[in-house]
Amino acid sequence: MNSKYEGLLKKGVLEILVLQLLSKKPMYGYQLILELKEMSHELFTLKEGTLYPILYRLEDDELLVSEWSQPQGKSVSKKYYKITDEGKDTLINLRELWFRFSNEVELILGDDK
Amino acid sequence: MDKYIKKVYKALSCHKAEKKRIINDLRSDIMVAIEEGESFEEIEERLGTPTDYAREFNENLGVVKKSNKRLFIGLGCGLILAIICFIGYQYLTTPKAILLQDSKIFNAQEVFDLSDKAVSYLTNKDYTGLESMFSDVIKQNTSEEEIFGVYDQLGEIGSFKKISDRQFVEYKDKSGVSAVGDIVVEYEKRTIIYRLSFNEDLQIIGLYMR
Repeated sequence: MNSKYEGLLKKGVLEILVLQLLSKKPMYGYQLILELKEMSHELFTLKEGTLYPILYRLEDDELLVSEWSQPQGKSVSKKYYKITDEGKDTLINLRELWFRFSNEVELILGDDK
Repeated sequence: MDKYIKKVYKALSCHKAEKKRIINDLRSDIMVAIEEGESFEEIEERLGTPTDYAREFNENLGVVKKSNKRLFIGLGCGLILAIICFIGYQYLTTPKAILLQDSKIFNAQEVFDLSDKAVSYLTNKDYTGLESMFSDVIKQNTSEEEIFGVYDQLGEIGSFKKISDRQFVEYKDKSGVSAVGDIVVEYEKRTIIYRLSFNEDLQIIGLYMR
């Protein structure tokens, strides 16, 4: 498969996936990469250079906030990303859109008679 | 680790604040990975070279890479230079005309007098007189029939009344400098406009009438 088109198709859903994962719990960057990889059975294996620009955009749009954790004992301080209320509202709308979107796309793709 | 981070910082093309944000996250990621038992070599292998790491960011943040920036600046400078050269070339090669009164080469009154003289030869159909004013090239290439034949085409003009206007310019182009002008002459039956060109020696090098 042409990896350019595969990448383009995947890119469109990254924001909604990130918002969904962060709606469960705050996470730091690398943690998000690992969770996404595992949950998608390695279909979504993101590089830092792909994930962070998405996090920055969402943060700039106030759908996320980032905060550094307090170092505890030997553990180092980590930068956690946390969903905001506005982020939660956006996620609800995007989820709705996604279900309609995927339904319609499937209908069109299923029509191969 | 600091060396790796420094190299990433250098290879990033975005503005300073964004660079800091990226470096903060990178530092945090490396620290966490080390804490979780990964060696720096393993982390480096996972992250890729600093250049690759930065390139991914540059592409996804939609910023132009430095090398491209330089290329654009280079192209821009080249284009501006080409425009300046073009304008310069146009300036040097485009014919330039100034009013004869402002000319440093021609004496306007002298040219006016000569043009009046030429008009009088033309009106009186005095070819010998007219020919004496021609440059050698015009002498060889022009005949009496050619000049006065034009009058036949213009129809009956009647007798000379007056010169009603006379406008001359100094005209410079690639072939040299000349004084070119229109003399408007009123005759009884119609008006004729003569266009005369003189070279620097004040010889006629062009004659046209309508």
